Amino acid sequence: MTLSIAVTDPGMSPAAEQRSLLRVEGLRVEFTLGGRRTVRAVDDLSLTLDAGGSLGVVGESGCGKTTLARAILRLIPAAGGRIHFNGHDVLASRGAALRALRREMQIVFQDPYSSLNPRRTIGATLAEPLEIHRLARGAALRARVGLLLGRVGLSADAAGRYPHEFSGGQRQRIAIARALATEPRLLICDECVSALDVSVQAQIINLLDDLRRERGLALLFISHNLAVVRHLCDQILVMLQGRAVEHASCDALFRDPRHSFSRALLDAVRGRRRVQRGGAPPSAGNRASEG
Amino acid sequence: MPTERANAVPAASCEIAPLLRVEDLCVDVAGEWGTVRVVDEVRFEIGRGECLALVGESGCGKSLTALALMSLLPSAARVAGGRIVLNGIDLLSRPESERRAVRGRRMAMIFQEPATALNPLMTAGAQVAEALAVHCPEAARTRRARREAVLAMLERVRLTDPAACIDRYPHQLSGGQRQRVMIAIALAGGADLLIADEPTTALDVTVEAEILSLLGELRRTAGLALLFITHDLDVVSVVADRVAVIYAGRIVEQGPSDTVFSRPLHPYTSGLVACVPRIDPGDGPTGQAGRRAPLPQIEGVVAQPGARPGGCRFHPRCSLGRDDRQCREEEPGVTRHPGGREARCWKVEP
Repeated sequence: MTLSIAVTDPGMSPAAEQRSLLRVEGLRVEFTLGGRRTVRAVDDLSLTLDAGGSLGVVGESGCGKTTLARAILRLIPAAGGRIHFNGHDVLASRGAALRALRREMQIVFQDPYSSLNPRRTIGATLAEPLEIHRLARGAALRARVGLLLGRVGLSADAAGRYPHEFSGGQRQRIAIARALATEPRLLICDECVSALDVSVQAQIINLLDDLRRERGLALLFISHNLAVVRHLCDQILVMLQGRAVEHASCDALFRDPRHSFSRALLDAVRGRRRVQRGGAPPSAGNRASEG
Repeated sequence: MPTERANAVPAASCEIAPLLRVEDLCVDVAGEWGTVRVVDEVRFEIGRGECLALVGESGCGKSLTALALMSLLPSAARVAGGRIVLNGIDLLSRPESERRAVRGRRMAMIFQEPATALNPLMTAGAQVAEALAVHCPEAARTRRARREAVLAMLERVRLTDPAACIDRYPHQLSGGQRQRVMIAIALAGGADLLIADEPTTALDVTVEAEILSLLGELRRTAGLALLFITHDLDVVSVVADRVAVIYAGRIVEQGPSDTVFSRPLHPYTSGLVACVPRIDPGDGPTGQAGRRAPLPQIEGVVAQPGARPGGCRFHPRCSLGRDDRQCREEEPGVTRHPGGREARCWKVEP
């Protein structure tokens, strides 16, 4: 497919960039395929996210969304570029400084069945981040766990139970509670509502939106569901083959997508009506798996 | 209990003799609560070339209904009553050998995750060839004829470059290509009815659009009928002629998909429609407010089988029925409504 000129204009003045909580510049992440072959999973990607803001990251499977999230959290190494978080250089941080940064950045994963340890009680799972970061102990620790459960709409007696006793939506609430335990300023949600029924999805979306408003929590919301992103996010980043092809306000992108791939994504959702009538759906083109 | 009205003439808007008629299908599962009824008096019809969508939350009995139709229920589950009539043949009264002949040849099924439904040790072509060999051995006796028949199947499902894909293993194919291969296998026996259980849930929106387009094409060109199981209401409003909404094992509303979603009768349907965020706010069938207003929620969760409430099964989560004596104590029957619609709710005026 032919790529038109990349539009990367989130409309940020230099002063606004100073205020941003998270700033990623020219990030590159590479994987070795064995031998000397490498794949550039994230390629020269830049983004900004304000404190209390919400940025949706959309794109097809394999485009590098999850890799981007992991690189921001330093769960995997970056091959180049810079990540600034709250004035700190994330990629250069080591030891205690890195641990302090990690306290501020947390993640909720897609599958609430595999992201909780089945052999630990919910209370133990929620206490762990508090213990690791030495935020509370003893009675104060138990009180904090109770507060966390209450914050995500679960009763305090959930602390003594195990993950298998909860439904998918409840488990995702627990995963969110665990992420909130260290009082982060940034929450990365990696397809965290994709595995849920629409009724439960609505509950989790409302919870995330409340948290963002009440606590000024910034959300980096990775999803393939454009409607959910539109509902929850102010800004949106469209990724294609590891690159950001469009970074704009949600309103602008949904009103007037500039990049051909953004248009193809929107058409695929809006054009479902045409599909039924037999019109050819817009093709996203062939995605090469290698960079 | 269904009312007398429900036992009258079937309301569906299909031909005189529907391709598939399901009557009062019940499925029991033996589990930790003892034996519980997970599919309860489910009835629907599908005409030739028609698409019926079965929607509802997880645990409502969608997939078990499909597996019961295919006689593929897991060992803990069994059909406890009802009739499944395909092409005039009452399947449940026939021996397994006869049902086996119907499975694959008259109806076939595809699943949500083609990566796990395909055999990782066989090439795509070999798996299509196997289905052809089982269902129509006379069609391909020589190796060359077999290969050509497989290529024709792969072309029929609009696989780009079938000659290259035929010798590839599932892991060498993309998600969309794998689902096309699954459809080719399912259709190899010449089935009239395809049961698709969340066939596009694992796919990207662009690929999903292509698969939905392919299914639409097969309906038009080959008269294929579809039973489409999904929880994605946007997909339903596009692919389905009619929709059946299932809650806690019972169909609570059924009718043409455009009217069911634009003017839901049952509070559960309204709840499902309202809680889906819209890509273009204001465009939603309920005309809900734009983004930032909290999404309307259906409170609570689906009652577990074995712990289902008396009266209407939805009443604990229903804003209309929660405090209503009749809703709490008596189970509503099916009522018929203009436009080929039916609902199971005390609050819907007949």
